[in-house]
Amino acid sequence: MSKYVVSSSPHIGNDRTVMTIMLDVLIALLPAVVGSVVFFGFYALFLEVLSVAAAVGAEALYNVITKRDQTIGDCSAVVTGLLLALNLPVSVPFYVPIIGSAFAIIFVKMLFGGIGKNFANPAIAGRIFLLLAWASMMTAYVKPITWTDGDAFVYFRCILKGREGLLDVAALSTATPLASLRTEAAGLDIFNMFFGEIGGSLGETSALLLLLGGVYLIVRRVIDWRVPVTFIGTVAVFALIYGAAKGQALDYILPSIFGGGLFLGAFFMATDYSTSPNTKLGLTVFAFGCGIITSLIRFFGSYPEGVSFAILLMNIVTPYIDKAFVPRPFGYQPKKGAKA
Amino acid sequence: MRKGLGYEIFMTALVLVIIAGVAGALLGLVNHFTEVDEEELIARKATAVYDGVLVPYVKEGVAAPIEENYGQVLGVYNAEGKDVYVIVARGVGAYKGSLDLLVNITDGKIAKIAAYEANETPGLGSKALQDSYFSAFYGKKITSDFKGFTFVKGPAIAPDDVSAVTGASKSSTAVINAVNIAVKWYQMRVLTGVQQ
Amino acid sequence: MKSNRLNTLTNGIVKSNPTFRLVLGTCPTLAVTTQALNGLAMGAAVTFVLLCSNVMISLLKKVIPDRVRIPAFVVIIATFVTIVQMVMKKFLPSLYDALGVFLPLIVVNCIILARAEAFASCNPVLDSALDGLGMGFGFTLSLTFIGIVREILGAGSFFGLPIGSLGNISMTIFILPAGGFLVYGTLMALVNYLTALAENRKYAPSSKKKGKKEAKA
Repeated sequence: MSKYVVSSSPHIGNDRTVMTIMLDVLIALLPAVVGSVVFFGFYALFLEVLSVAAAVGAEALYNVITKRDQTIGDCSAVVTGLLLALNLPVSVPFYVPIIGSAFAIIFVKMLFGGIGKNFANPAIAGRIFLLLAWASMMTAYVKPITWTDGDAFVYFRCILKGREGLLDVAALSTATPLASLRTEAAGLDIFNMFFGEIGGSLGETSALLLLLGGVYLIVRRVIDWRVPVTFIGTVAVFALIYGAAKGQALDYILPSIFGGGLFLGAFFMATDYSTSPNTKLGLTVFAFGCGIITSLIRFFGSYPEGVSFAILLMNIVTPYIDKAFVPRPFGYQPKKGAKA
Repeated sequence: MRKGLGYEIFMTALVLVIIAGVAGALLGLVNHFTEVDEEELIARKATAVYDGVLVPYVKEGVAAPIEENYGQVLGVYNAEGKDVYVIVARGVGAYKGSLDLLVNITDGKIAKIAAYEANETPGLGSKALQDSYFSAFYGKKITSDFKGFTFVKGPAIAPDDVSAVTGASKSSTAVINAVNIAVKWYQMRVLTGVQQ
Repeated sequence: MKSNRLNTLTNGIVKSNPTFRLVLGTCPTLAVTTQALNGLAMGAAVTFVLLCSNVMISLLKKVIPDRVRIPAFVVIIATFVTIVQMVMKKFLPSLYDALGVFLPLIVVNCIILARAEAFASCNPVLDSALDGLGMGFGFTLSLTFIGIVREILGAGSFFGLPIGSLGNISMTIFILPAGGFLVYGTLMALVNYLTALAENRKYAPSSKKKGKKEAKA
């Protein structure tokens, strides 16, 4: 046998696979998962497990029915299910994450050819599907439960009695900070918005915990720092301009950044490989677009939160961004007089 | 045999004219049988808010309709000899521009409301067009200093607050606008008349 | 000859179903199918117009000069549409309100003009009538089918009758435009798959046309 192997590129590989990347993402999401249990009790964990199980189950079932190779081993369905669950308010009934995950996996991912071929982030599309399907359920946020709400067993009671048990202790429906942001920025509790003691979806309340995971992903080079930095930076600049127009230039910046699902979206959802551009410049443009659309929806649209819509829209534009920013081959000189 | 260009143009025009003429005649004939009397249509729909005979409201040459930037009164009907007014009110701000309601004001109180011409999104906006929502207005005594209902998102606090239907704030707004213009009409045309 | 006529009739229902195979008249298909009854009514209106205009155009095909045939067709179609509209306004006012602008828009529904141009203007009267009837039935069936699915999922009812307590957990998205695309695309894939299965053709699942429904999702 010859010593030289003839093969096509790539010739250099490493031990990084889809599975290891997905495991990294799961590790990065761990703080947010723990946070969701701390803020909303064990019913949150129940929803997360249910959502993951439904996502994996849907993918397995699809592969069986269409007689394809089983693909659940790459863990991407686990990530999709978990991300979707983190986007839900804790007050949703059990069937919401199941239907959402199944829709995300089957309609958004598998029907388009599976991982790497989906046109939009399945978790984002699943969330928007649920938001349009059950608008009132998906915006019925409850305040985080705390030890002061009762005895030390409050967390366990939630899991034993399920959703009703949770609504017993945390029946207070609360507007998210974002809902009031458009008109009034002063008086928002920035401290709690950063640590997570506010109403919101399971995983979006604590900016700190998401930041921990995000930094881990950047350090591990799973995601490109350009996306979250540009995305969050654009939102901050827009908030600055909006605030300046209202005469309170600085008041809007921090609530805009820490409120809503911006951190969750910027670190975990906008960075999805198959639905974001391939080049660094392209990624920056992509994230800039996400930031602009998010801000426009938040301040001028009819929904209080626009992160998921922004990411979905930019997902759709991604092929065109890729086309517009074709990398220049090394050493390539444009011909004089030739049209670009 | 080749015919001239003029002949061809003439024949083309003739055929088109004949087709259009026959079509027009046919439509006229059908229209004769299916013509809907607007008054009758309103009276038929008005049975949703009032069980009885209604006649167009005329009073001393004062034109019934009024118009504001949030809505307008398209027409008013009343039951003869009774203090019953059925107001066709249009409120702006709906998902599809505007919507028309029938508002029955009996003995100075809002008695019944029904959708007259409204085509909001089924399942969303249509929730603001159901009796369960309209009942928030029922029983309200209209005095000359009543300022109209106030639209609020979230729970109603003040006595004249009406909270929006979740997921249908546009339709809710339009409904409140329509009720308010009906109330305003009642104040302008009926209450001030009584006081004079 | 007889089986030929039968073919003309069934052609529009299955083989070249205007909604799922020819993808004609998509605008009313997506817009009015929020409820099964609306779909059925729209289908019935289109069937009537299609039948009448096909017969009329087939009768007049020798008389209408070739270069003004499109205006002539449109006048004929518009006449029948207006008749339907007037009759419906008189006798079915609630349905008339529900169908809204899509009723007069039947005039420019591409199924009708397409059948007039492609079939009725070059076929005998009886065949044209059968073709109109078949196409109309196909359209009605498809619209009712889409309407049933959207109504059950989106409003939890079947032809206006509530199904248990399904209305409490119904998914609003299915009566919004996005859900229309979703249901339409999925049903189209299903129908195409089943038709292909029936024709015993090997059909790779990956070639299902899925892009359409997601355009708005």
